[in-house]
Amino acid sequence: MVPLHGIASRHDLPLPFEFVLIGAAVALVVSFVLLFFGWPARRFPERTGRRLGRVPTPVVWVFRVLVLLFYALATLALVAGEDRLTNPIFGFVFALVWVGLVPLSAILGPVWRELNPVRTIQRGLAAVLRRDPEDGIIPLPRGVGVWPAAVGLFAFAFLELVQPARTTLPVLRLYVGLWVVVVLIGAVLLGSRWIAAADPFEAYATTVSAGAPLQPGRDGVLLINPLRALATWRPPAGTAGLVAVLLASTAFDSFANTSWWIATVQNSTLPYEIWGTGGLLVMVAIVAVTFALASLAMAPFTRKGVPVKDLPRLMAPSVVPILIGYAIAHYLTLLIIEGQRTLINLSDPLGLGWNLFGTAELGVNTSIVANPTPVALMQLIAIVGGHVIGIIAAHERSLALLRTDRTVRGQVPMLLVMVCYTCAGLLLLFSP
Amino acid sequence: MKAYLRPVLLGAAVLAMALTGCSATPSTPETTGPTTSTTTTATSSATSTDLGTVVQVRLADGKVTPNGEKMDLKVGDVLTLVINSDHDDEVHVHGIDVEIEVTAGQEVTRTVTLDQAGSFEVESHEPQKVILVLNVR
Repeated sequence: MVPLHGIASRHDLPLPFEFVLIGAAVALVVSFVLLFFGWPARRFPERTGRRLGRVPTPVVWVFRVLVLLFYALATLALVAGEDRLTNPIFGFVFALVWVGLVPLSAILGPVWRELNPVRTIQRGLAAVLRRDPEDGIIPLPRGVGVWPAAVGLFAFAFLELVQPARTTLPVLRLYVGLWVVVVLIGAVLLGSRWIAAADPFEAYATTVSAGAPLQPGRDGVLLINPLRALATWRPPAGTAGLVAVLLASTAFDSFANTSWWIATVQNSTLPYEIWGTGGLLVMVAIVAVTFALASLAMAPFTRKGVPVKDLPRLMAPSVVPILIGYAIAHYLTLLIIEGQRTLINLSDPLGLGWNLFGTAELGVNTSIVANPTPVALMQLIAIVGGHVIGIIAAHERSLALLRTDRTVRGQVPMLLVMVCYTCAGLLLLFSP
Repeated sequence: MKAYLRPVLLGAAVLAMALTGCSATPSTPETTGPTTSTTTTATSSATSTDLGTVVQVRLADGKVTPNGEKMDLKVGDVLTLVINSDHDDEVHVHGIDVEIEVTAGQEVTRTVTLDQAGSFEVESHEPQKVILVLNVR
C-alpha cells in the first residue's frame, strides 16, 4: 500500500499548498515566456564539448570488480541472510540501486553500463568461451530498442508498489532470480546488446544519463552542456514507453498516499493487489496516451521527412528532466536515510555480528529531515527545475522537427502536457 | 517588471490557479471531510492536556475507523489512541515505532509523544490497514 513499507517507515511531509501554487505559476510563466520569446533557431545542433581525456582501462576494471564484489555481498545477504528488515538487501535494491542510480547517472553520465555487474559477468563468460561479448548465438532483432526494459521497469514498479510481502526474502529472491535469468541468459543468447535492451536498471540509468554533463566521446570523456547533451541524444525505440512507465510509477506512488485512495481501497471488498495493479496500469495509460497525443499533435507542422510514428520517441528526451525531478523530489530523503542504514547493515550482511567496513556500530544521521522546510524547498526546486530544463529541451527538439513558420503553434500541445505533468507532480506531493 | 510582461504573467497566474483548481476538485470533499471530523473528535474527546489529542480508534469487521485520515500535528505534540477491537490485533505507530497490542473486546489507551518531523502511519496488522496518517511538522 505504501512504498517500501517496512523499510521506510517515515515519509516526507506533504508539500505546503503555497509551494504548489508558486511552483505551478513559475512553470507556466517560464513555459510561455520560452514559447513566445525563446530562440527561433536551434542552438545545440552538434554534440561538442571539452575533451577531458580517457579513463585508463585498468581503472575501469578496478571499478567493475569493486561493483561486482558489492553486488556479491548483497547477493550473500539475499541468499543466506536473515528474513528481517535489518537485512541490507531490501535497502540495497529499493534505495541504493533503484534511487541511487538517478543522481549517479544524472551527474556522471552513462557509467552504469560500464560498471553493470551483469555486463562484467557476461564479459567474463565471453572471454572463457573465446567469443566477442557483442555477439550472441541468435541475432537481436532490430527495433527492439528498450521495450523489454520498459516491461521490466513495470515489473519493478509492481514489486515496489503492489506486490504483497515485498520486503520478505522469498519474494525478493523470486524477482532477483527472474531478473538474472532474463538479463544474463538473454545476454548469452543474444549478445551484450540485450543488456542495454532488457536490463531495467541499465536502461533507466542510460535514459537518465542522457542529460548529464559528462558523456562518452570519440576520444574519451566529454564535458558537455547538459542541454546540448539532451538535444543531441538519439533515443532508442521504446524510450517513450520507458519514460511513461517511470513517470507513471512515481506518480502512482504519491497517488496511493492520498486520503481518497486509502479510504476507497480500504472500504472496498476487493483485495489491494487488484486496486494496486489497476491503479498502476491506469496511471501508465494516462501518461502514455497524453504523451503520445501531444507528440502526434505536432505532425501537421513537422518538416518533410520526419516520420509521424517516430514523434513520441523523438520528443521523449524532453520528459527525462521532469522524470529526474520527480524521482529526486520523491525519493532523495529515502536514499539518504535508507542508504545510510543499508551501508551500516551491509557491514554485517548475515546478522552474525560481523563488522566488514567498520560501520556496523554507526547510527543513521536523520538531521536532514529534522526541519521540513528545506526538504519541501528541495522538492519544489527539483520539480520546477526539471520542468524548466524539460521545456528548454522540448523547444530545442521542436525547432529541429517543426517547419520554421510553425515553431510556436507546433509546440503548444507538448508544452501543455508537460505543464500538466509538473502541476500533477506538485499536487501529488501536496498529497491531499 | 516590464509593462508588456504583465498581462502574460497575470494570464499565467490565472491559468495556474484554474489548472491546479481543476485537478484538485475531485479530491477536495474527501480531504476536508475527514480532516474536520478528526478535529472535532479530537477536541470533543480531549479530556486533559496530558493526553494531548485523543483519537478513538475502532477495529471491527475487517474495517478501521478512522479510515486513513490525515492529522496535522507539531513536533512535541502528544497523541492518545483509545483503541477498541473485535479481534486480537497490533497497532503500529511508524516513525516513533510504537507497537500496541490489542486484545478483542478490551479498550486499550496509549499516549505517545511525537518527537520527530515527518509523515507517519498508524496502522493495524490484521488486516493491514492505515488508520491515521500523522503529518508532524
